[in-house]
Amino acid sequence: MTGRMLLTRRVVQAGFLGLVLWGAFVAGGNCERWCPFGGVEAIYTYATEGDVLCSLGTSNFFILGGVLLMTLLVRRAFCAYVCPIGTLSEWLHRVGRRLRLPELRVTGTADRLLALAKYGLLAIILWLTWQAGELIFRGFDPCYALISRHGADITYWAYVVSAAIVVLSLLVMLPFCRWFCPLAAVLNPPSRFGLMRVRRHAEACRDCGVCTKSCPVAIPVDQVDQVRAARCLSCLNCVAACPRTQPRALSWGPPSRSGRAWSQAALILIVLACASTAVVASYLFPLPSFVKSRGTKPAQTMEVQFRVEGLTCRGRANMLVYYLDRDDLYRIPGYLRVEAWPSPSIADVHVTYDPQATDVAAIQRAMTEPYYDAAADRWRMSPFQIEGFDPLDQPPLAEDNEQQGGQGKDY
Amino acid sequence: MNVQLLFPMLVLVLTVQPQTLRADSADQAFAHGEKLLAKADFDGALKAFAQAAKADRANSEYLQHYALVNQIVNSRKRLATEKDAAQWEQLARGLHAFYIGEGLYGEALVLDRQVHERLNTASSAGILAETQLALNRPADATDVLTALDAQKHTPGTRALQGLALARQGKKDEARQIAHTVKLAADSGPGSIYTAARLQAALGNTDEALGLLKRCFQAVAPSQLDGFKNHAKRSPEFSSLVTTDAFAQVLETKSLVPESPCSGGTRCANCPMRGKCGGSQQP
Repeated sequence: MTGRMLLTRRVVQAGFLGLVLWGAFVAGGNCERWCPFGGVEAIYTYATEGDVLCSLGTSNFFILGGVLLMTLLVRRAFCAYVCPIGTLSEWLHRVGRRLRLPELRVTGTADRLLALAKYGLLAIILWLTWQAGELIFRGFDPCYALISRHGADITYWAYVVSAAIVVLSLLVMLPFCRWFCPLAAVLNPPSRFGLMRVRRHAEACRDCGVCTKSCPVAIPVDQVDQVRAARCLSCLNCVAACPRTQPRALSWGPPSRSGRAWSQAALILIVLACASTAVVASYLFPLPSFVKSRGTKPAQTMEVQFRVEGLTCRGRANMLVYYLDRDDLYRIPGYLRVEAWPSPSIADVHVTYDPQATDVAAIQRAMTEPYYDAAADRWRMSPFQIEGFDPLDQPPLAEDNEQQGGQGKDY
Repeated sequence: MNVQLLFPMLVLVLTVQPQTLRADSADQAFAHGEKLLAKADFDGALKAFAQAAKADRANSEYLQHYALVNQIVNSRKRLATEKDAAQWEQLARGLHAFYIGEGLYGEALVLDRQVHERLNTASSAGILAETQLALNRPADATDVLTALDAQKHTPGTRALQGLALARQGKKDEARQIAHTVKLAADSGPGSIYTAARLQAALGNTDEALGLLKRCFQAVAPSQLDGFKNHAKRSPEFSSLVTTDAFAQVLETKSLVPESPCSGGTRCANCPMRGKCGGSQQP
């Protein structure tokens, strides 16, 4: 029983780690868009400014939602089954045991004090990130160093942090996850109210303490009736390690009068369901990662959709707004809202406009024509190309602005 | 020759040859367009750039030239009919920037005269005088700046007036004006640069280089190279360009922050990425 449960969890961990490595090194994708902590970092900017931080996407919000739902159901199982840092950290600790390195067991007050560090770290990261409007800690992030394949803005500090985690993990069980992980600080409050719990049946328990020794986050399982601690990872190491199986001294499952135990398979299914639902939802309901509105909505509006080359990131999306907001020959007085999905290849752009004030051709021209930047006293060439729009085939500009809806209706 | 090789060779020739021809004709059309543009034949240049862009659609430079000249042609037409004063000024400034960038000083002179007649500000006088100096008409520049109301003069226009006098060999008058040029601590790089040129024209090398250094320090990083290149070509600095002191001044770095967006292609490497969210400037 013990071996099978541990093996099953390692297989799931290896599967998720493999998925991340495949995404980063084989598919060459932007794995940052699937990081739940990215959702935490981006949510304030999205709520206040309508765009997500550079290189993140609205998929981060879906993943964060999936992980929060997972936490409400199966506590911090994300950390024990999905997170690549948790997986590597746990495996390194196992290597440390094989190498017969000394094991440091940090429990009690020391553990509780160290665990507070992650809340401080979370507060600092969020405050500074939201102030700057940018992922300013990304260069120090070991996880980003991995998934970005040593990205352009990685500093050597990311490797110092990585080395520290590696060394500590060889000696201590899950040091980063227990004490320093900012995502753990986000997940702990919902985890406290998590539905599924490990329960100890006192009548069957022999108080041998094996469960407590096997717990990677130092929960004194043998001293409680049920594990309420927010830091419980639902790893089920305690259940697997418990020598009392007939009758069971430890079980895991939702609260029920019958005390019926749920299997590890149910836990894994819940984890997979939450993760896959989040991924599928992010594709089914693709929220724009960049939204800017202006003016008041008239009675009648229309929306036009473009596929645009050159709209690679949030900075470029801001640049698109700069072109749409232009005040020269190609100004478009009836433009009301732009929604964009910046992408390294082709980006989708939806523009809402007042058909009484402007038309599609005028919007296309505004996006692609050069624009004189009075502040810098130079002409700026638009980096955008619209699929199906050929600037060479456009009719000459009308003498007045009637073609673009006239001067009268400006928002 | 092996007959079996003939077919693939024929296919190769037929595939490569038209592409090469197209590229050649695009290059020729583009070069023709540049020649026409240098002669201020905007309509002709527009047609040639359109031809180049159609012949080689992969070349974004051709399309960009077409788009820009198209905009210029449209702006020139609109300038004659535009009723809105702010819009008219914006059109004129855009055209002026284009003319100066392309070295079309004759076109710029006509435009700058119109602008100065209409606005009659220190800025419009300064722009007109600069164009006149570029066309080696320092006497005209002096006339324009002398006619400007004394209250409207700025340190920049005063320095320009001195420079125009110095170019005419009236060094004493220029020196008198130079004494009246009082740059404020927050003077813009344009005024400081003109004052540096004036000091260089008067032979005050140390003052000139000191002001030039101050100018470079006051310029935003993205515009620094433009100022340095202008200084290297400026007739006032021609005798200094080869000196170590001038080379040392050219090493000066900007001390002012860049605008909120560097306009680069990737945010990851952008030194201003921390301020990206608050900006709508490319």
